[in-house]
Amino acid sequence: MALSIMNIALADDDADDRMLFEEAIGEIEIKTKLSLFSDGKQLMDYLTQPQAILPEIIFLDLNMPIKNGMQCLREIRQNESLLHLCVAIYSTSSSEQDIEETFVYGANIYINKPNSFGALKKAVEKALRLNWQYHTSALNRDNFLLRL
Amino acid sequence: MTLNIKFDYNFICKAILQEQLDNLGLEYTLQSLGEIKFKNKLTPTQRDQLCQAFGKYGIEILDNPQNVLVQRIKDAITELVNDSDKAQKYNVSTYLSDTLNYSYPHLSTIFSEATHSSIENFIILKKIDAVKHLIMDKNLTLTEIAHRLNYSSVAHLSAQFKKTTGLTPSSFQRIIKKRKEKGITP
Amino acid sequence: MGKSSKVFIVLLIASVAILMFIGSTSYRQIKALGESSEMVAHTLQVETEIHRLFSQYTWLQSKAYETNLLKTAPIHRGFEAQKDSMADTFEGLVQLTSDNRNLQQNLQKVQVLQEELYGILPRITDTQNDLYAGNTAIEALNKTMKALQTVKFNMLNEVASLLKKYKEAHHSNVFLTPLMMLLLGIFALCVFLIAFWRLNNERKETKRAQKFLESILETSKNVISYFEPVRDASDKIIDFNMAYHHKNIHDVLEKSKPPREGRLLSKAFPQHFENGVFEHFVKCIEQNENQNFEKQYDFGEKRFWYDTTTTKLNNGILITSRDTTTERIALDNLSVSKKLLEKRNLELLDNRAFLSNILMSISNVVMHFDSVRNDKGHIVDFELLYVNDAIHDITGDNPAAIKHEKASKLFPTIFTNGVFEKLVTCIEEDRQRDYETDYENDGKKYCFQATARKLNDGVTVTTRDITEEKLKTERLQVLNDQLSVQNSIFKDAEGVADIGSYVWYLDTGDASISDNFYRILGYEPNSFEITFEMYRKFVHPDDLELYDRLGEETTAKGSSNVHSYRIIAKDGKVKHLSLNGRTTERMGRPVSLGVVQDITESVLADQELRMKNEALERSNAELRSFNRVASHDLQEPMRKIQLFVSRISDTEQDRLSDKGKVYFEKVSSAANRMQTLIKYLLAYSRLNKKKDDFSKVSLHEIVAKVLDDLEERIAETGVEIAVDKLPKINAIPFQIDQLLGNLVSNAIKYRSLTEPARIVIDCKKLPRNKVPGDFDKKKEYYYRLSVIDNGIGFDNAHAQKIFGLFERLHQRDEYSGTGIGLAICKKIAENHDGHISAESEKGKGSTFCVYLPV
Repeated sequence: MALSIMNIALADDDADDRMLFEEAIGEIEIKTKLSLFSDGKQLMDYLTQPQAILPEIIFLDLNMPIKNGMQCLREIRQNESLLHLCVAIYSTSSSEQDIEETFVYGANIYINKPNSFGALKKAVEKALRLNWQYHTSALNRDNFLLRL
Repeated sequence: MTLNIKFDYNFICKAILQEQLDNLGLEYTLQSLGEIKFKNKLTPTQRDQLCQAFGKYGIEILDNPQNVLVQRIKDAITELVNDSDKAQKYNVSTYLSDTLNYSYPHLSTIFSEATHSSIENFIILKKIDAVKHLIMDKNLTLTEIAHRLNYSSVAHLSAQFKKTTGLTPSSFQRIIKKRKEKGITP
Repeated sequence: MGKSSKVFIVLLIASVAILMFIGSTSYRQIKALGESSEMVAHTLQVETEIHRLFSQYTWLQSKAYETNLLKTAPIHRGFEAQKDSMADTFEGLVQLTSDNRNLQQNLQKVQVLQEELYGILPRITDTQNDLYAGNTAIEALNKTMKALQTVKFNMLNEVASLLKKYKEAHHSNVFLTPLMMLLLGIFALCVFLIAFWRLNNERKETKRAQKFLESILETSKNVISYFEPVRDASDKIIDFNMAYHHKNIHDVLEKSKPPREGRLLSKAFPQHFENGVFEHFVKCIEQNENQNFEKQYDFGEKRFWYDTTTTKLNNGILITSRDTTTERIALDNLSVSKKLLEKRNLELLDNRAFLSNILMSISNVVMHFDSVRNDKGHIVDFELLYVNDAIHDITGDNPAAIKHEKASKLFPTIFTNGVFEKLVTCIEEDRQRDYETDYENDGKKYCFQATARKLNDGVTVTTRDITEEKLKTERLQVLNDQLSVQNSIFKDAEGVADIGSYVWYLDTGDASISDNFYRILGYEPNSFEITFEMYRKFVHPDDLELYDRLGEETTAKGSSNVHSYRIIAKDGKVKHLSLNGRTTERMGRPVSLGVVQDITESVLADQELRMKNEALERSNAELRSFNRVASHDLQEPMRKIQLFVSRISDTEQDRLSDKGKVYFEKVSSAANRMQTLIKYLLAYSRLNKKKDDFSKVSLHEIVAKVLDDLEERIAETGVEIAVDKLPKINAIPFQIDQLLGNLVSNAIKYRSLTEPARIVIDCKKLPRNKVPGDFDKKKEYYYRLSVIDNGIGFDNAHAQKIFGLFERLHQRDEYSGTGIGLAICKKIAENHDGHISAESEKGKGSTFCVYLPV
């Protein structure tokens, strides 16, 4: 296979969710390397290390202790070196306002935490594939919005 | 203050390529955006240097012929999507097999293996990308866009947009507008 | 002259005609005279001839007798000769008498007798020898002769009568002709005489006229000339020959250089070719038009004006020039004096206009009255001679219309209010009178201050409307009264409203405070003198800084931002005072006047309110966070349950017993229900209303999105959905989305199972009064967005109830539902200042109407 390994990060305070996400990622066809963080601060600390291997896509739960998803998103969008990263919001909230707000503040993908494992798998896979396309083809990443 | 700008990707890419190649003092000709022909064989050091120089701009040197072909398929599709005359005239599969001299199934397989997606999906992505561009930068109405990009109807366009992005064109438009107002660029 | 000459001509013609007539008559007369004398001569000749003829016959008889007696022969010879001469005579006689038939007849008889005679004569001769025979012959001869004698006698008679007749005619002619001649002569003489007289008269007349003309010409100053044109080869007039000019021209020109007659114009008056006179002359000739022009000529030193008239006369032109120099000078003088006059007139007019402008523009009424006196010379009335426009504002009269009216008619009141007497004394004593008078018109009362001055036998009255002034004075009086009343009221009010007032002199710090201010401080009124510094001891120690700032700022800038401070009253109570002052000047000193109010109670009330508000806000925030936390945190485990349920059913399904599977299914559905409930609750609690959420949204797009979202449900249930044309409204997009989504999905859920399900979505614009429902209708127009279905419907009695939270009309096992959906719809409608209502009949479908402001 010609495809290289995709670096992925997930920040979620819920251990179950992290586990399920990991399982889902493991079951999809794309070769990935997943880094897990249990809150926003951990994630940001990692990303801002000088030698960090930056993930191609970051899944962010909105509702986290210490530093929530929205704060992370803003920090990422304000950081010159992280600006280009693809941010996928991974949240329980299905409020249209929340969704729109995250998009406005620079999220690329919004995934409602699904109620079934199958749906989770599907959503993650689609997000990864599309992100990959946006990163490898001449597509305008400024306009990359995806809601799942 | 906010400035709105518009740019030509091809032009930028070409400029960057030329700049980097000239920096290294290499003799070359640009065949197309995806293909550079060198007069002399590159030494491993030169290759590494070039790799590094291009890497800063996210330009990759494709090693195997498969990747080269995939890139050519993408280029061909880009061209097809951007040229509404051609898009009207040609069926995608025939266009691709004619331009690239491979059977369509072969191209399709190669593409899927290399990109996590099918040619068809890629075309849709490309088209939706064009739709976004037209909505945001040209301020065209959906009717006009549907006509330009060979959608059979506005409904078809809207449906495809929604399916691909999960958003309606109008909410997409609203989001991008708000982003611009707040000066947020991801 | 013309008439008489005509008569004269007629007379002349008549006399010529008469002369001709007389001439012709005379001529005929003379001719007739000639003829008659000829006729007499002719008749006389005829007589002579007759006598000669008959004498011959007689001779013949005698011869015959001789022969007979003497028997002398040859009778024949003589006879024969006689016969020829007789024949000649006879012929001549016949010719002579050709004009008379009687004579001709007689001549014929004579011829017959002559023949007889001729026959007899030979017989005599022959019978010389025979006596008898001779005798018979003689007898026959005698007989014939006798007949001849008879004829002769007849002819002579005839001739005699003719002669007589001719003689008479001749006589008459001889008498008439000279008479005619005489008449002719006399008449001709008369005509000649008349003609001569006339001619003579005319000659005299002409001579006199000529003399008259000459004398006129001599005495007139006009220059009269006659010029003949001089033409060049192409018949163009190039010059004039001065054929005649009368001597007056000498006076005009210098005496030394009189122009000779026959001189060329170009030589004598070269200037005529320059000043257009020549052209006038030419025009006069060529167009045969009289020309009249007045021009100025310089002859030598002098300057003349001539008014020239030219007339074409025969070939040339007659030029009459009148010296108008003096007229001109006079005219110039006249115009100068006229201008002067005009200027004076204008000045006069200006003065008048100025005066009239003054009179027009002043609001004072100016009137002039002429006195009207009775037989005894007493003034009984006045006549209005002038009044300015200002009268219009007061009486409404038009100044022009009331001119010359009597004062008794215009202002009858002056006879009763003493004004008339004042005016009379003004005139009679010639002194100015000032007085005040009232006037009432249209129920409006005016008050005037008037001045009357004598002018001629009249009086000029200038009045000034002092109604306003008077009114103001009166009002001032009233105000003063009111003020004193108010002052006392205010004093009481201060007490009631806990208000005190102060006067604070900024220069010295002296102050005075109202009675109630003392009371606020806890003292009896005026129980001590107060100054700014002294007052300071009442101020709450914590507010001293404020109070000092108040003092500084007010002194420096006249105002301060400090509007409240606390004091400690005599009894130790802390009071909050609010003050409002303004700086002004009083008797040359800067002073701050102000009001203080004891706001202690309201400050305390405010504090309480603020605390309550804060509490409310806190509880609201708590509620919000509770809501969010509850929903979110409740949702999380729910979702987790679902996820693991799905995980188990994916991986462990086969290991469960059948019963376990059923239970597991129940867990799953309970979890699903729980999740939906939470989701809806969350949605409901999130429905708030922020102004910037509103934007212009296309209902059409929203409906399209809703239908798109519900696509699967619609496809699987086969519901037919018709959408009307929908407008754009100002709304919160996702709430409208939710509202319509709920309504449409309800309509799908409660669709008819017996007939093809149909849903209609339409929209209508209604004026406010057509909108039902009890809600605050702020806008004039509302959209009624209806979702109509033909589904199972409900009992209309529940039409209100269904919008309540957790209200359900169906059993859970019949229709799944949370009882939140319509409550959400209601809240959304209310969020948009709108209203939602439902109408239904069981089994007949239902209609949900959402009213949204346009």
